[in-house]
Amino acid sequence: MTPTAQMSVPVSGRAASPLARALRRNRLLSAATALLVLIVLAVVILPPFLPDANATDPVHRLLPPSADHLLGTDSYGRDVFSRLVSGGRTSLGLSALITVCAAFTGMVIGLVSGFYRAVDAVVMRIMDAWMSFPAIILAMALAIGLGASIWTELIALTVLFTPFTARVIRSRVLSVAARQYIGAARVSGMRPAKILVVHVLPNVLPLALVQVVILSASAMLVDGAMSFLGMGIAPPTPTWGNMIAEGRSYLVQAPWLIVVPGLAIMACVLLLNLIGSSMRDVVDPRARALGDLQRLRARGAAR
Amino acid sequence: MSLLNLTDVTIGVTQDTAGHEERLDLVHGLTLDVVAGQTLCVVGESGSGKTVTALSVVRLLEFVAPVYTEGEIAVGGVDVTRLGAEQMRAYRGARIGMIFQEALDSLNPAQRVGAQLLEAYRPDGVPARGGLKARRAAEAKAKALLAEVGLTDTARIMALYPHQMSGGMQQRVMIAMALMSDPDILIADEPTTALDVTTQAEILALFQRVQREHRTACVFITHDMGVAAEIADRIAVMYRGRLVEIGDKLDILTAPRHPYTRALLECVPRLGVSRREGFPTISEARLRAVTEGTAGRDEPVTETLRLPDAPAPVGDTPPLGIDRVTKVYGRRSRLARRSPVRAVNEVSLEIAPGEFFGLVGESGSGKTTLGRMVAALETPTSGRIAFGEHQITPAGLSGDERAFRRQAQLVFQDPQSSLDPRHTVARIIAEPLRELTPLRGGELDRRVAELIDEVGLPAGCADRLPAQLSGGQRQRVSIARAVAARPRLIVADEPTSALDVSVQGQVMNLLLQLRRSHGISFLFITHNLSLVLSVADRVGVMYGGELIETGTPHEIATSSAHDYTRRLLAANPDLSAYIGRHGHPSR
Repeated sequence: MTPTAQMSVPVSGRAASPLARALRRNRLLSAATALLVLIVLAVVILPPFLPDANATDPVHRLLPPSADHLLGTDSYGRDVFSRLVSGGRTSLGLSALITVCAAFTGMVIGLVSGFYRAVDAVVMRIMDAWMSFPAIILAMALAIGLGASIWTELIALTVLFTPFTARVIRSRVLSVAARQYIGAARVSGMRPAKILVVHVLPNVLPLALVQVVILSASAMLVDGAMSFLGMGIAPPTPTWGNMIAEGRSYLVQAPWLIVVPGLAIMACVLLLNLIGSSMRDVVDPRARALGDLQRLRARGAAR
Repeated sequence: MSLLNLTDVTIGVTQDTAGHEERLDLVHGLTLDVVAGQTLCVVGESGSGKTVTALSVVRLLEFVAPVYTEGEIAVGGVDVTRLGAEQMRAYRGARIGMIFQEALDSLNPAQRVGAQLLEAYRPDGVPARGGLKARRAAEAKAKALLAEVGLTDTARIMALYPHQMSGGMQQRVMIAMALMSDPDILIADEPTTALDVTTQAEILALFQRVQREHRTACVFITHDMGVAAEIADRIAVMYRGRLVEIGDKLDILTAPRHPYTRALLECVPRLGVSRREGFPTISEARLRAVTEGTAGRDEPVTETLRLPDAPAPVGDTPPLGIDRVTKVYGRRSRLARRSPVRAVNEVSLEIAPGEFFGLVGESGSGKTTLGRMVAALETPTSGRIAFGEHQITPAGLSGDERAFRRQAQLVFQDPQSSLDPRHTVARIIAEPLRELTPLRGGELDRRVAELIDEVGLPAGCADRLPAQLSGGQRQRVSIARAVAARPRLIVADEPTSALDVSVQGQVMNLLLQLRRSHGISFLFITHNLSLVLSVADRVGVMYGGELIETGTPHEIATSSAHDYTRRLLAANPDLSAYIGRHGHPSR
């Protein structure tokens, strides 16, 4: 595992890039990123080399993990490892897609409503109403209304996550908009829309990136929950969520059926959260100062 | 016997660069002492190590940075650098009191002032125990001290939260709090810098009285020689982490021995000394030559700019006319029971072509709002501002906005926040050129290089980010951006208030030069009365949103008709009393 892990992190040569430098300096960040990249690579590369995820084999059903079936088989005799890997494709892929969509819409709404006060008053009240509605129920209502499919889930979860991103981006935009260089740009004759793109966006982007990573962790969780409830991608296409749903009837006889996809979701969410919080340290000087201070205090106590 | 003794103190931080630890000294071999009942003012510009010195006496730095301290800091004969954490705690507050710059930041916003005062009562260096009796004693003490610092309505004051008090009241409470445990030493780190001059004068007088009555030894940190002149018994001057000179106040102010002290005194603007032909600035090279002994100690280390005699013709600069302008913030509404604020009230003003008009006032006087309206960043609630063919009325700016922006520009107060941290210097300066002029490509680059040169920045600056520049350099960038499109009017909103005096001289020289060479009119907004009186052609005084008086600096300084102006003049810490009026300090 180590050689791959090291390959995936740019070690030298691009020292000028701040991201590469941050990766090298922050071991937690680089380790978590390496592991996540490894998981993604495995999910992308492995399927052609594994038995078909949907090939049923009723004779060999509910087999425990063995050399033939690394993680055993499920109630239809399908290989759990194959299903885990190709389920990862859909789960990770869909979460990534949801994240990108929600981040984009949230970013646009956040930027516009943080910068134009008149829009803000209206849009943020809508966002407030939106956020006060129970999330999963909203998603379920949409899924039922539009019929369960990958696209419904995409729309439902994008709708769900947009206000959260928009809020975070907006608060950052508000603080940037209060800086004097925004006024200076106006005095320089720049149009507000251009100021938004040239001055506000680049100063918001680092924090937005952190937000996106943390958002993708929640997207994974909600996506898992949705497929578990049968609102997401329909079986037999495997996802980690519907694997847990199918395995729950055999909790006692074949615990690996839910432990394995459960661990996969947990690992990915944990890694994403770790990456998000260490990225925040890199991006946000205040968070970094707080972290340094804590370390200093810990060191002082040890002495 | 002196109460506080610093002997050969070196303070620094360890930096973790690329794996190995590096030491960076902030203060080198400092030796000074403070006698009981005396005030020592430590004066220096930013980065001189004055605050670091003060904070390491109370040992507060170790909580925020990996510091090391060498040498001896003795408080009443005990070296505090060797005390354990528990022992040190008995010194903080109880033996060494501390007053910080921002009173609002130093008070807990969620607790009533009374509770915070009682908490500070630690008669034996430990929190008071013993229930009701100790509490009664603490309350009596708090009330007595509040009365002493001039807050006579003690019961009401103790029930207030910090945000319900004015800045001056907060600082008074801080002083009372520092005195709660009768410390032997009081350390004040720029306690009046955030206050208006009139409030500052009150607090300084109070501070002096309290210090005399309690016979505490006092270390007063300030960057302002004028403040030091008011309050000090002795003055220590620091420069780049070293003690340059220490001595009695009169000696330092009237017969400074070190060239840096002399230079610093000369740089401070004084009433009655005109700087319209240029400000003195400290020449680094000459200072180095003198300190290293390659030049005589009596050589001057300041340079004074001499502007070319013939000012550029004002040419096509139109006059600025401000006609009964009012700005009201907030509307009376049924939802929020807030009454509207009249930030600017019926102000009328004319600025002639090429004139340098100084607008002076305390915080909340409306001077910045007026400046922002002139720069068309805000629209007036009523009245109108006319500049050439452009008019700013409640309906907004009439005519082409870009044409107006070409004519009128604004220099902001804080160069830290007025430059986009992600743009290079060249890109910042090019921004108005791109937006307001047809220059592109090679021509644009040439003009940017020309501007960088004109404001006296090194050519290598072009590709740097604001964070890589010093405060003075940043303000130069900001000025270059303002003059890029060759404006006819510049509104300068406190352009030097975030800068050291010697750097202030450089920036003012630059503004004066630009005015001479381009015939630009200036609306120069500041709270610094000495500065504006020494440089402006005409001065306006604002108070509570109204322009109460205009006149030449001489008229304002000598024969002001207005009460407030006279109060402002009286409160203004000024060195004229100590220093000969003809440039050099009298020897």
